Amino acid sequence: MTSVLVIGSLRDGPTKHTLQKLHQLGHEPKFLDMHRVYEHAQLKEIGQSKIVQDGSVSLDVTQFSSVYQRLMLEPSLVGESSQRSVVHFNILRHWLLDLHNHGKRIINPPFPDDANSSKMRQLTELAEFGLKIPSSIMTNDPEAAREFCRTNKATIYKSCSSERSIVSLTPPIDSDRFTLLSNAPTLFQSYIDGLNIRVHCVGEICFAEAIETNAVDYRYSDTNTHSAIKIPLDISKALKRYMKKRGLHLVGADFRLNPITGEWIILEVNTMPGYSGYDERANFAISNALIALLTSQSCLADRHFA
Amino acid sequence: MKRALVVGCLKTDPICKTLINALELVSCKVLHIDCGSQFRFSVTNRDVFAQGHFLNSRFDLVFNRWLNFPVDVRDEGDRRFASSQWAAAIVSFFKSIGGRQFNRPRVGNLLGSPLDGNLVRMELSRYGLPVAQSRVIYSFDDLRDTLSRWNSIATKHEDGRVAIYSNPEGLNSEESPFLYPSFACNVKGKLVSVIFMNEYAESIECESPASDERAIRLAIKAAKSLGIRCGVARLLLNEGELCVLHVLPFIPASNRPEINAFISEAVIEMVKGGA
Repeated sequence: MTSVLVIGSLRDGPTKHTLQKLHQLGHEPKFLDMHRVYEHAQLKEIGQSKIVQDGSVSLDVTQFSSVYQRLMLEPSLVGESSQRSVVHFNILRHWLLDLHNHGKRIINPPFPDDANSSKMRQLTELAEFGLKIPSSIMTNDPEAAREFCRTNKATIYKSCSSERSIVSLTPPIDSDRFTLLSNAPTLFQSYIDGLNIRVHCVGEICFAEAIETNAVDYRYSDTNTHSAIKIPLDISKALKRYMKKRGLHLVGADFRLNPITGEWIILEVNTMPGYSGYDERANFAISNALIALLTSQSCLADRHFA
Repeated sequence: MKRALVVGCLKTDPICKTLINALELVSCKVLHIDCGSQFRFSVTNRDVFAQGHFLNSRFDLVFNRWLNFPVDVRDEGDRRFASSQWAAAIVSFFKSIGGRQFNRPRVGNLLGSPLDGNLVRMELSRYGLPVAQSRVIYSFDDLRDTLSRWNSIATKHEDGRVAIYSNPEGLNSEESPFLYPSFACNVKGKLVSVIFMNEYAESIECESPASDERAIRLAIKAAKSLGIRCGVARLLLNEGELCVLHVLPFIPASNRPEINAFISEAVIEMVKGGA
């Protein structure tokens, strides 16, 4: 049986969910707990790590054919980023890249130029694949932001990196808050008042869910209603081409359905998606596909960081 | 006439001026964008602007000398968020400009991180290039044991500080007050720096002309393997053997005449040669 390594934290929903599903389906995954690694590990040799030690557990990494990883330095998950956790985070990241370069299936490889870490760059890339993107501006210029808001009926603003932010409607253009832009560039987009759609792609399979909400950012609302929705073929093909180019096996893509034109407009693609809630509503179709991918024997195309 | 863009801060980075002078000497039309605290920019679906300039028109050469974020921070959380926003912005800014870039920024290496050197060495080993040994030191005893095997160790810390240890006898815990764990490298041998821009490269502080040639060849091979067009390769020469310690994806800000002379010459030759 193909062996799977899961790296993450038990405080993290998707890690816990994936582990449970693996066990339920009769697999015996090894689990590398980030907390234990950050606190107790001694990962000394860099770049040729054949053994990962976390104090009590030794893992011969050559025995794994695939890895599901949720490696992160989120303070809420791993505590404050001490030197120790930063060092171990970096070693594990590089070790995963090394495994990827040696043909192991890593979902997803922690590439240093992760597309989601620059949302505007990601949007322009997605447009190159034929996906419709909203009218957007990333700026640190208060006047440019105001001008963008004047020319669009309604706009939202959000983080332009992978750091999480709550998507909100932009304040009125005479707000003093615009002057804060000089400290940190921000992404503004025209607001599309349509249905939220979340698409999870696992390898070649896509799952779409429509989310009806009164909130601007549905992730922070508890009055959402969910239903399955069929994804147009051209959208799923474009997403899969993008994933192939980026060397990704699992993504969560956010769309808005334009109520007037019927177009699917892509907002962003998450390369480490929190998929568990969507999976439960999809009767575990996403995790079944993920586990099938983790435990299949097919070979992967190589992708290098340079 | 060739068009060149130099993005950098004239006040803090003398290399910006060197680049502008060299480019003007070979009749390039140069636009300089100052990325100091007054820098304002926008990237939209189609266009990119900075300091009132429309930058869509393709430049033949783009020099990215963006070495620091203009971040005004209140606390660590603020620093983390603002830094990630600037990193994301700069990557997208340069992607939108297009042209031949020295160098195109990548989120992973924009300002460097403690382990970037290890990532570089790991990648270069994949290409079969010789690299310096690396490991993590977990304690003072670990440091002493490793030093007795390697003879000379450089450790790097989260804040970027580098310390060199070369005498296991004289080592005591009070003299190594850094936080553990720390990244360490075997730096036994003579440090050789090779500055490179495209195919042009020159070694600095090298032992002999013979090793110069070998060092330059290794540096260019390493840079090409990593997709870096311009920077400094740090090599080690030990008993006639060369290995790569690190490849910096930028030339550090410097007033050193030999570095400025190299940059001028490389730019002039590159433009004359049809870059």
